[in-house]
Amino acid sequence: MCAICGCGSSSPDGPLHPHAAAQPGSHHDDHAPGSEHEHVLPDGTVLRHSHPPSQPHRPSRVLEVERALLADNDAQAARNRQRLSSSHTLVLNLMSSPGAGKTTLIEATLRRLQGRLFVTVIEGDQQTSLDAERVRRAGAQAVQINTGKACHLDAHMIDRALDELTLPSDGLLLIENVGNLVCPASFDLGEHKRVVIASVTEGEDKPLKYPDMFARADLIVVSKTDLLPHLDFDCQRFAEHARRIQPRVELLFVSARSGDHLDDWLKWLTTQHRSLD
Amino acid sequence: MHELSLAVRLVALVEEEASRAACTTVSTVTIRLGVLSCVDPASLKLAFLAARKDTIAAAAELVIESASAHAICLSCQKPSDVSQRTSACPFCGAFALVVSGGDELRLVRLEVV
Ligand SMILES: Nc1nc2c(ncn2[C@@H]2O[C@H](COP(=O)(O)OP(=O)(O)O)[C@@H](O)[C@H]2O)c(=O)[nH]1
Ligand SMILES: [Mg+2]
Ligand SMILES: [Zn+2]
Repeated sequence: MCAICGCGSSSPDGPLHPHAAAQPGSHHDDHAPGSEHEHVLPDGTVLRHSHPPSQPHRPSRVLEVERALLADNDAQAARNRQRLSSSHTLVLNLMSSPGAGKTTLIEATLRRLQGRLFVTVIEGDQQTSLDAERVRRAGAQAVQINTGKACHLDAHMIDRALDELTLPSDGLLLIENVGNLVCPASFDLGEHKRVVIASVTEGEDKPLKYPDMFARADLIVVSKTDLLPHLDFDCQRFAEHARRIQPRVELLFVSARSGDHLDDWLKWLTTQHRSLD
Repeated sequence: MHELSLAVRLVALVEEEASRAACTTVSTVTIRLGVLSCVDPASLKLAFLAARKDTIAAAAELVIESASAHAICLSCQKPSDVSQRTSACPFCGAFALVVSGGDELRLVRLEVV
């Protein structure tokens, strides 16, 4: 049954029953419910049908609206960003597949900073508070968010986590997103910069396989370079693939284990922090 | 993927708009989906079937309009439309496209009674 007028047509947009072409006014306005009647379509086709008396006719109308599906998240993200900018806190959203080395990079960053910058960490995982405990041991203030079945953090979760924290001004907030190269890409958390981490054990084709994630990165960190001697990972090829997605993207090749190029990472951090003003 | 939560969000927006317009039935829901948005149209349609249950949109059809993405080639400077993030420039073949747009995800139109 047609959902619009209750007549026998099975689909509201079926070829014999063009409601959209019939508004406003023409299609059914001119007859009483229950009576058998005839329509002549613009192309000359004649339709005969009737409507049950219980379903009187009202013409359908079209509402033009413009509503972004993620508007709620984006508005909350903007509020988060403003709140953190006003306390001069640099916010980074760290994203990668599980096990690429996000937590290890955070730990190494904390050791290198040696308290020069107050660091707060929001840890996102589906379960456990293991990562929050790890970074607390390394000297950061940390909150764990457990997303349960959800595959990404969103701006409202960050807002709630911020309420549990006391953020001193002039610090650094690192958000470790749920390990996933797909879903977190769509959700602005209120960060200033997005850092995507890919380890050398994942292969050079990651940017081509997950272009949406790499397209939105402000910085790509290739991690675990201490393992390069054991692999046939080609850094040049990885960079080429990343630049196919984003021709001007910045790339760093680091090892949190050996400390290789961690200075470049810290320099990037400091530059971002300075350019907050 | 998060198509189900998007579909639930979409139906909530539809209900808001429908109640504001004081209508009784929603027959068509039209959204605009950027070709580069991280949403799979087929999964979203399936998720919509589940999310519309017992709402004013229970019998509504979901129409997905696709919105294109634009690119400028850093190599030859020519503009083009792209449907994939991994595309080469259609004019010079360089993998040097700076892409803009194509990621929108909007409810744009309702047909209601
Ligand atoms: N060899 C090597 N292993 C690393 C490095 N960084 C992390 N790992 C290891 O990779 C595994 C996952 O690291 P973790 O930081 O927990 O990844 P996350 O899931 O992205 O937070 C752990 O066993 C780490 O010890 C690195 O730079 N070199
Ligand atoms: Mg971790
Ligand atoms: Zn070109």
